[in-house]
Amino acid sequence: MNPLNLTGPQFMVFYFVLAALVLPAGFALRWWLRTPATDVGAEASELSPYEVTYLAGAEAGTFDAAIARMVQRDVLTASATKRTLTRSTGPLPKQPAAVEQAIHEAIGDAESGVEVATVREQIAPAMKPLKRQLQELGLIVSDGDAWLARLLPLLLFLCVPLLGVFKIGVGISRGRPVVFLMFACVATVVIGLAVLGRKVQRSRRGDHLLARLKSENAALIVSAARDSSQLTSGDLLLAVGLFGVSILTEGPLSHLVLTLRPPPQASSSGGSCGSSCGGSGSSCGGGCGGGGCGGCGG
Amino acid sequence: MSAAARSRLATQQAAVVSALVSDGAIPVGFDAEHLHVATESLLRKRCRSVARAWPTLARHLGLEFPEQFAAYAETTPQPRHGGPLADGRGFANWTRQRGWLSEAVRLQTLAVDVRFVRSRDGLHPRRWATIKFAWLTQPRRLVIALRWPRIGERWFTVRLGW
Amino acid sequence: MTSLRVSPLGLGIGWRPELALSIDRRHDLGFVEVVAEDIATDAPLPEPIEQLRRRGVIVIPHGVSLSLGGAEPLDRGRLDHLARLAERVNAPLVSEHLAFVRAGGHESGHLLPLPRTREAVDVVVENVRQAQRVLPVPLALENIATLFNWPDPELDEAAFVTEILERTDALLLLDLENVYANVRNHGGDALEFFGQLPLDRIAYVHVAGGIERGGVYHDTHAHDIPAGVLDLVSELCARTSVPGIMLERDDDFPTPNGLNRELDRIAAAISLGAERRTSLIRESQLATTSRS
Repeated sequence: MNPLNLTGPQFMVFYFVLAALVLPAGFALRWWLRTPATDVGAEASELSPYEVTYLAGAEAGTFDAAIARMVQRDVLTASATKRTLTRSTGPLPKQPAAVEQAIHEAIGDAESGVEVATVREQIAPAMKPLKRQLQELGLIVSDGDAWLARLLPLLLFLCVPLLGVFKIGVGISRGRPVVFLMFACVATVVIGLAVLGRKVQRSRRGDHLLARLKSENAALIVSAARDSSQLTSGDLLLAVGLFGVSILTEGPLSHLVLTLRPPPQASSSGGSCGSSCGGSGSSCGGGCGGGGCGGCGG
Repeated sequence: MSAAARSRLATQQAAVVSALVSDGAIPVGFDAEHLHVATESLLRKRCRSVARAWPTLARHLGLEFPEQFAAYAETTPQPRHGGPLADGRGFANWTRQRGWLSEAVRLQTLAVDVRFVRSRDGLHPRRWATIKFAWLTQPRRLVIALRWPRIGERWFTVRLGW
Repeated sequence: MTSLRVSPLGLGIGWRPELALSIDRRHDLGFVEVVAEDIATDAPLPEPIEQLRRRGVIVIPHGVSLSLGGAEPLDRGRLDHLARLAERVNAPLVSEHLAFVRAGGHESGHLLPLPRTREAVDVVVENVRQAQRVLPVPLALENIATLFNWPDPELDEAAFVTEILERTDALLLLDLENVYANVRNHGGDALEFFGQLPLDRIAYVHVAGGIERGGVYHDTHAHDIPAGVLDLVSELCARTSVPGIMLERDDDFPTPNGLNRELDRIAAAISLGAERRTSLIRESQLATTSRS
């Protein structure tokens, strides 16, 4: 059977079934290529706080956690309306983490503050050592493997719209309508890029360790989601690093949620979670249940 | 024990509770001053419990919370089911009718509504799959909460520009 | 009377989400109490509680809305929930209050005192027995703090509590702050009260803080423990071996350090009382040997 000889409706069905089969296959391939997969050794459990935040949230998550810590210590102030950061009166610790040092320098003494996006870009080099260290431990996929894990599944999946393009050619040559198929091809390319085109970060080993770290810090997230004002700066860093800025929604640092997570211009969907989410337990409520919602998207 | 004893006690207890949380007369033999202190204490406890179960609402109303809550509590008895979470859900509705709710409160309302059915006597856990929406404006976005009891819950945000 | 069936619990605390981190980092806790109404029936237990259980910390469900002293029939849903929770956390016992919380269609939202009459004792005993038939584990009953009392009591508080415990074979959850509050607000003597209670039925003990407002002491569970309550801890521990003592904190949550201080104060009061008890026992042994 040559699929290119199917009738239009038949081919459409064939096309969607094929896409529905190849997408999970691509996903599985991507998962399989995220090596190493063996469980973590003892050395990996001794990560520094910033290595943990990088493992959980890469550059963006690490940046957010660092800002939260620096604002809590009054090293910086953040403006949610202007989305800028300004130096404040608090001093940096004597031996600041490289990331904090870089942020502090990037902001400088500008009185009007520096835009969050600018600071984010400028401190990117300070993140490199974290990434390298995690790659050495096999928790983040090495650069070459990361490309492979991103590219191969994508190429596999893009064979589906490629077939569609051939069929469009066949259709046009036979004088058939091809509008639906063209839309279908565009849609599959978009879906493929959205699902399989994302950057590859953690290895499967990194996933294991992160899951373990999240579970070990379950009490931290439950308490932090209720009241982040009582956290020490180390706990705050870990809480924001592991669970994102949304856990700050209920506390004195709530303005950071808007400062650090500005809405993107284009419409997009995703699992960014509402304010009362964040609690890991879906049932832990104070005085008959707060509104914790279970597994938030993301 | 006789049923009569139980029904006598029921009448007495109803009179006491009514005097404490409603506008019932002070039952014979009770110390009016003590009951008054108890009434205030009950209201304070109710207010604190709701503030704790609804931190978003407490922050939204700020210093006005106790006063507003007292006004709400005067006309609304405590719900029978769902405790402070249910009480606060009623208060959120009351507040919305008299003004507006912050986005944080509306998100918590969404989180509660996707898990519970509201009824006259409070909140009851939902048994079936539910989908709830909230249209928020800062930034403009549609928040969708999906929940399958015993399976899980998932939230999506569709951002629609600024 | 049966002997106590509760194994030693040690130092404990009421688990609240705000305190989860502080509790997780305190490694000398033998048990935590969870408010049964805070845990949804069908949802998984909060992960931090599961982790405490894996560490060997005992979890005791504590009901606050069963209304065991209510004239209305017990709410079967609430009772079943408490029973199921006890099974889920493998609890050695559960606890509730000697109080009523609703009547005539009104929820009070709090624990209200009962008339201390024989008729009321009969009602409570019947309710408690009904609960015991459903609960898979022993039930401990807690004395409450009252801001007002019913007129014409036929029994004093100790006699009221004791009679209910003896007729139902229930255990006692002795709340020392409630004892302290009642003595401050209504007079009486805490030590005399101890003397009249069946102290061997104590399953565990509650300790908490409160504050005086307009001449009335309120058990807020939002303030530090008054010295007077800690004195009662020592006095009680000097009189009997208490299986477990726990802190209840429900509001204005302290920092982890602040919470540790409160727990340490309780622990110190316990050892003070226990030392006195040991030396009292030794003295009496010496007296017996020298006589013989």
